Amino acid sequence: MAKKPSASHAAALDDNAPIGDVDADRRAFLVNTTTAFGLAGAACVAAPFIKSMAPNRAVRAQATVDINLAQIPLGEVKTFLWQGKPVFIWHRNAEQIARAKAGDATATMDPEKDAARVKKDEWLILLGICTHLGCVPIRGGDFGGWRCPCHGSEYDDSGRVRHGPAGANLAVPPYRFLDDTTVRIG
Amino acid sequence: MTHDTPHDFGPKQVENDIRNTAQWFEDRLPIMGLVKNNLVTYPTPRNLNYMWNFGSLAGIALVLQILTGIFLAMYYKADVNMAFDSVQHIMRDVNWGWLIRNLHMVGASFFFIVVYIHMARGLYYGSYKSPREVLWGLGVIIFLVMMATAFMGYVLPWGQMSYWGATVITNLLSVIPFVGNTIVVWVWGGYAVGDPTLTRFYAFHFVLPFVIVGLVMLHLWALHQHKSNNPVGIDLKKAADYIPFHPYYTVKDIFGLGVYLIPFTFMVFYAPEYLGHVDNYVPANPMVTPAHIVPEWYFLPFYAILRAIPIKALGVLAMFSSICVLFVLPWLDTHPVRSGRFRPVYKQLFWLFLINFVALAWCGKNPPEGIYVIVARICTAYYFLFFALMPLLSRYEKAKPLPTTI
Amino acid sequence: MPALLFLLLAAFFPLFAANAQQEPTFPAQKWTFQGVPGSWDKAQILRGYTVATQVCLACHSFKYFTHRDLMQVGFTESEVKTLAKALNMNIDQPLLTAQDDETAKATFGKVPPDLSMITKAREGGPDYVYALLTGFSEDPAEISKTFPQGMPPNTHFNRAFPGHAIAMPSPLSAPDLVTYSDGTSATIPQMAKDVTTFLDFVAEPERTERQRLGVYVLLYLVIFTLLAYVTKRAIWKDVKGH
Repeated sequence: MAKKPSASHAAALDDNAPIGDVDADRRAFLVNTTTAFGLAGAACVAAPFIKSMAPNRAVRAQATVDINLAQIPLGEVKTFLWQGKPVFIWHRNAEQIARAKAGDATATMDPEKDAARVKKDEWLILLGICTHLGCVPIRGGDFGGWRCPCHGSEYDDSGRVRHGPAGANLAVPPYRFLDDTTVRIG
Repeated sequence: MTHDTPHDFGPKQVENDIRNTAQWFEDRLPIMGLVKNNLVTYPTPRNLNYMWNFGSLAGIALVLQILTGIFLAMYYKADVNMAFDSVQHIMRDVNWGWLIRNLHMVGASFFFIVVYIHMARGLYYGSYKSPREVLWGLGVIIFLVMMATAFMGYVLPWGQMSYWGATVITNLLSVIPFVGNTIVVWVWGGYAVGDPTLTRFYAFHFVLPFVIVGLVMLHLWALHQHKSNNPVGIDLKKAADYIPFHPYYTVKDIFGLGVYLIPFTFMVFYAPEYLGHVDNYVPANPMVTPAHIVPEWYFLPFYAILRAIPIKALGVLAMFSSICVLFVLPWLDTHPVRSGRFRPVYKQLFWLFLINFVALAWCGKNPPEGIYVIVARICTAYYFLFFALMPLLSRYEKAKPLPTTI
Repeated sequence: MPALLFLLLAAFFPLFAANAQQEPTFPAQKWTFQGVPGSWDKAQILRGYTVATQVCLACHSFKYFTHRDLMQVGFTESEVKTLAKALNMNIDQPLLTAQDDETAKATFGKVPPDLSMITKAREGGPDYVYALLTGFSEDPAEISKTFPQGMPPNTHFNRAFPGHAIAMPSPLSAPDLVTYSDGTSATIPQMAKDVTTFLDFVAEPERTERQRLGVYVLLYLVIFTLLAYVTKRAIWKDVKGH
């Protein structure tokens, strides 16, 4: 384990100082210990810097927005902003609700019953972000819901995916009804 | 090596492969050789004392400022309406923001402490003398760029001291004959310190540290031409007088780093505002000037020199001269003996110079009234007298006999 | 040379502790948040919040304070929401005074400053703020010593305020201006202590965590430096002259 001093600095070494194996071992142990301890410290210093880039006070970011539902006519969909993202709220009429429920059996790509996706049948509240790569779908498509202009995914009137390349249904954000005409998203 | 035999992945072969790949790269960009010659086998005098640690500490302080600065830049907003708030956002909301900010704020002060000691070492041991004149000159340039960087950085939080310090110092440019006022308006980007000033100061504050990095590389390149000076100040000719930089000075520098980090960390966690000003926690108000405008402590000696001379233009000239005179020191002091250890007169003058520098700082901190004015003038006079006396000492100082070996 | 140089440069620091002016010094108070084991007393913060919102908020804003911040001292989200609701706010809104600048200027001669950073923005910090709040005096003998011609118009005598003439009338003019929900007697010194603690929390909420963490970091560094020193000695052992 003893590291021989190179010829260039052998001359600087004191000829009277003993260079035994004990010294060399001690040196190696100390160097390894100090280095390990130092690296552990460096990792602990790196952590706060990396964390500083993460969303800060995430709790704060969970802002809520209260929507007045009276502004949405029956049968229509309107888009609102929540946490910087679009939210679709569809005031569904009886015909649209029936169609959505009928789709329970035929929506096979990401099976989910319409009842599991709404709290009240006439209010469909969805995150307006395509589950493929994040574009905002527009009303249209063959399934009564939406079509994504980016790559052609299609969603039905419950927001379920019916045509790829997306593979998952449109997400339902957290929400609750404050009263009959107000819903709080988030 | 034929294509018929499959590649062996045993340890010996892998080691060989790595070595070959490394050599292939080294042939094209000899980084490993550069590191080896300049940081590993690089010959360093074996008698350096701890005063020689401060160069590496300055380098580390620079790296720390750049690192913390980049992370602060992710959240800081350089807009007069948002700057102060963005700093509070960093302190309160950003994960570990308070720590990164405190490291940057205290780090700036410690950077100057280390650099001042590094310069004092240079003065005492004659490290500025031939053949290290350019090394020394590069150091003075680095010091100047550091001061510009620190000055602009202090403006960014947009507190009262930020705003008024910026106003006072940029106004100094008005002493330039004929074009002075035009230049001041040009620097401001407006008719007073304002939003354009803040944004451009941010741009420069971000870029200058990288200029300092470049200057440091030149500084080290110049150093490596003639190697380090040493406490005895004599030229070392024997191989036995040198030891390789690694492991001797790498371990000594790491130990030095530990010692440095202890008071630094203490201040970051327990006294982060001690070296600052309470007035900078009042948002900038162009209508109200604080009772006492004081720059950060590291500028105080030069601030004192500025105010010591009652005529504005001469005060500005004196302040700039006090730093520029450092450039010509190697030609003012041509005494054949380098190290202050063996120059009894120089040694006294040097210690007096340091005490004088601290006294100037004390004057700079206080209002320019009464005793502070008198002391500031005496100390300014001595500051320049020190340099003026150098040619005399070069000729007449009788040095102590120099040892022939270390 | 090294030792002397260090000593000299260490002399820099005390210089800056010395106060330039003939400013009054403030008796050091005992604060729960000071020192390494410092902590925020949840009950005291609530009391201070009560004083701040029922007395100070009439004229002063606390723009960097939101009710959500109280969760850092141990309040639950619902407790915090209740407090905010009492002021008709949600927990993420900054706490701003209803008084507008024009009225303030007309009444007091200047706009009352925002108090979010006050303990950091004044020389003497919390000790100063406490001294200020308890330093109002109407004693004619005391006033005439500093102001023989009487107080400047629209100012009030205060022992701690630099210049001794402050535009703000004594906010804690009498005991029991507020009723503390925990039953503590609301004497003037008590209210001053509580509100100053609250103000320090608003200015530096990270303080207690910072003070706590510092111990571990310093301990680590001391061990690391010792290790490095021993390693250095071992490596330098056989160099001539060492």
